[in-house]
Amino acid sequence: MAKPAVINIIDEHIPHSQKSDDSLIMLFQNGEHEVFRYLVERYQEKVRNIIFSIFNDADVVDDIAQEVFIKVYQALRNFRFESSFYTWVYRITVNKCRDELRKKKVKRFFSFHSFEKTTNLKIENMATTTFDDENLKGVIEESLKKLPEKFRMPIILKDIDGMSYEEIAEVLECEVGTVKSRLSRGRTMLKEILMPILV
Amino acid sequence: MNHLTQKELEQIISLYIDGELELSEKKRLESYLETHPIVAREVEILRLSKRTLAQSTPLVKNDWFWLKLSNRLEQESKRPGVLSFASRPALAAGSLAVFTLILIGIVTIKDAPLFQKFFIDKKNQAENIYRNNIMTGNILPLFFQFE
Repeated sequence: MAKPAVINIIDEHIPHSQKSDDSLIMLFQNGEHEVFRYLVERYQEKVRNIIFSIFNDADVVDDIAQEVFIKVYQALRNFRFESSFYTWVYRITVNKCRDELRKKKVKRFFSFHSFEKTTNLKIENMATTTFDDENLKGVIEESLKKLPEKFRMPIILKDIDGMSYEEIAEVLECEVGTVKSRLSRGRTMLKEILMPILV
Repeated sequence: MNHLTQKELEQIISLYIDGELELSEKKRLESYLETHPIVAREVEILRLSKRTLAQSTPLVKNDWFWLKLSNRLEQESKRPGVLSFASRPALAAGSLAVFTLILIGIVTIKDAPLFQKFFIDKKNQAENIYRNNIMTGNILPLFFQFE
């Protein structure tokens, strides 16, 4: 995507809240840092929800989302309009979540509390219950948690956020073909976990 | 469909679930599923999981998000920069050493003729002492005459 040469003249007369992402970014890069608020308000819920989809823990969402936007703020002056702001923010979010997952993994390694066992136990308990929508959602979310991150992330971006293969490839910085094969592999793994419970 | 490997079939099913299969391929897969109930059941489970994930309830909107974030951004801007010496003594010592070396280098280059003159004078002085004392047999006063 090419850098917009100048801010559209018509754009100058419309309120910041209705300006395009690119216009707001250009204003930010020209020193009007207060427009960052409009970008945050536009994407904060999407970012919070994707973090929630990855961690399934409402307690960590806001802290991580704030870290994401601080990183966005610091990097925005160097944004070169080569991708959409939306996929760029998602990429930062996914990378931040990966860092956090890595930290959690290390913590788990040194703690007596085994995440794997807890998840298994939760799924086994759910297997003995009948499924209403809420139970089903719980089972699927817990099963999704069991997938390795590289297979889980494309499923979250595709099925929860409704992104296209191309957008996912941009966010995860890989080829479209890789996205397709990871989605397929991830779904097969998910199916193998769900089959004994749901059938 | 029967000639496909398991992996290829899984990829086609994944595309089918995403609605990305071409019409002809979609029809072929659907007729295959009619004769393979186990695979059809698996596809059904995957569709159910996709549907359920898509209907995930969004988090409750956080109205305080911007307020908290703007406070943090303000704190971040007040925090000492990346090259803060106070929090990095090794960096401070290293920088000081580099700075001193650069300073010495600059002074040396700038006052090169002065240094040259100093060393030439000392060399001449030493030569004179050698010639006037050692060569004439006066060894003891050698160091007394050296300035």
